[in-house]
Amino acid sequence: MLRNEKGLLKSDGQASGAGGDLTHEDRDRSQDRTRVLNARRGGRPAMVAWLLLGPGVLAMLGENDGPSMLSYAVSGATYGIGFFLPFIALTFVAAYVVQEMSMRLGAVTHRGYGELIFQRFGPFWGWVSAGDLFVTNLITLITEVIAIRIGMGFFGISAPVAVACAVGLVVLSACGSRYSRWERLSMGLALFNLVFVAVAVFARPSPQALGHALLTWTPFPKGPASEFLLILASNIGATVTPWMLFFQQSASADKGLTPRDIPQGRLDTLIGTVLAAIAGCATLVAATPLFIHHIDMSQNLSGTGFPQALLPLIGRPAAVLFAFGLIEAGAVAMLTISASTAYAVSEVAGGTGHSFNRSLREAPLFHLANIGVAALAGLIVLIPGTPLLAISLNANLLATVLMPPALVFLLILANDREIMGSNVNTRLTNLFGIFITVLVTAAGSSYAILAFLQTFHGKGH
Amino acid sequence: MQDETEYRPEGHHESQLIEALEPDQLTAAVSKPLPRLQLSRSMRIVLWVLRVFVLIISVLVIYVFIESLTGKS
Repeated sequence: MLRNEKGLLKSDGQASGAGGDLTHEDRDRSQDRTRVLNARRGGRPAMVAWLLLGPGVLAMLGENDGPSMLSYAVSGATYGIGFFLPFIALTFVAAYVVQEMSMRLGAVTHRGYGELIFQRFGPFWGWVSAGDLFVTNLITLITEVIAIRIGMGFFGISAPVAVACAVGLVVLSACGSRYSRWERLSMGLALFNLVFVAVAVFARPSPQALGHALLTWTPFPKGPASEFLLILASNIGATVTPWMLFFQQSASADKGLTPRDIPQGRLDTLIGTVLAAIAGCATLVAATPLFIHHIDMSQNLSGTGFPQALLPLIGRPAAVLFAFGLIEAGAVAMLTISASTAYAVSEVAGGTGHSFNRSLREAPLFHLANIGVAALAGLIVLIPGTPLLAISLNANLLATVLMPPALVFLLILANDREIMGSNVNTRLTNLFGIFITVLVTAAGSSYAILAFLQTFHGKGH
Repeated sequence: MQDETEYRPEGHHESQLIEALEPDQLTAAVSKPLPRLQLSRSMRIVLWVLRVFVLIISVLVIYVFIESLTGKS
């Protein structure tokens, strides 16, 4: 067993600084933990919950990013609310199940997901995971910058200024070398994800139609099966993604969650799930007028796209809110996805520190990866002639490579009694976990095979 | 093998700060790597299936990605 009689995790090798001075990271985390312990001792459960809120809300609202919101909007514009309203709600239930496991792993082991994969499964899987995550995150970040550019373009702001704002936000958030500051800034921004609810209200959906769709999953989408499958897979890819696993586990460890905080960690994940599901479903509803008026959005995803198309149907205030929502969704995802890249790369590289509580000098690779990947995405968007539409449409496709192994590792690690002790998965969690893994693998593989066949045949003709 | 006292030495000048963290949560403890997981035969087979899956899907995805980049630029 890797746990001693007190349930503490033991490990191999020599520790640096054991029994010696505390690091800057320890001191900052200790101050945050002292607040939690004081609130707990003072019998203030609401304060404990508030202090421990963060990684779950950020992972969920961060995933409601530019491409995801566009994916929900495409679903609403193509098929209406019938099938996709309950389907999107269900994908968030799946997201809760996997994110809860990732939070629990972080709280119990105090280690990030990349670190655990590297140490428990070896360098091959460690580097494959970090490498694929880096590429997928870079492509996703490019789409976030595009979303910010589309949103700001609606207000007449030029592309270079929009890109500078996007990258500048990542740099600004990392200043101060403090996890709690980074987290609260990101959470403040993430709450604006709910502007999509206001846009949905402007679309004046019928309460009866919403209730009918949620209860009966009808009317069922009509049209080509391949298009339906593509949108189905892209909705799954918009809710359950590899970066979220890496992010929430690493952020939970960075925040200093302990096994005693697991109930609050679950509450944090649940609140994030509910808020993100509401915003995601609202985006679907907001785009439904395009379906009702038979406006084809498949060729209109670039430029000012959705806000412009919705303008004559739901009015200027709603279109302005939609554009603002796209900027916000892109901005929050820039912060969380850059952070997940930084955690994964520095955890797998090892030895250099991987925490927002460390300064640039203490954790150079972590901060370089965090800011560097965002800056690289911004630069690519500004290169004239870059096929931005092709990049945007393939962002979810690249995630299909990493998602199945990421979910399998998550299940193995969450059942690893040596590191999890009594906090291993219950039988019910395993049942749901296996079901979700099979579903996501099947959807991802079909998406990849379908895209390959379409490209291959398209080239032949 | 180490015990709690390695990370929580008595009389440490920052003992109050150390007490707020769990012993296995301190940077010194987390910097030690965990040993490799001892995999059962069935688990090793699952990981080999995953390797093959990743290889095949990577080829498909990279092909589609490159084709769409070169075709629509």
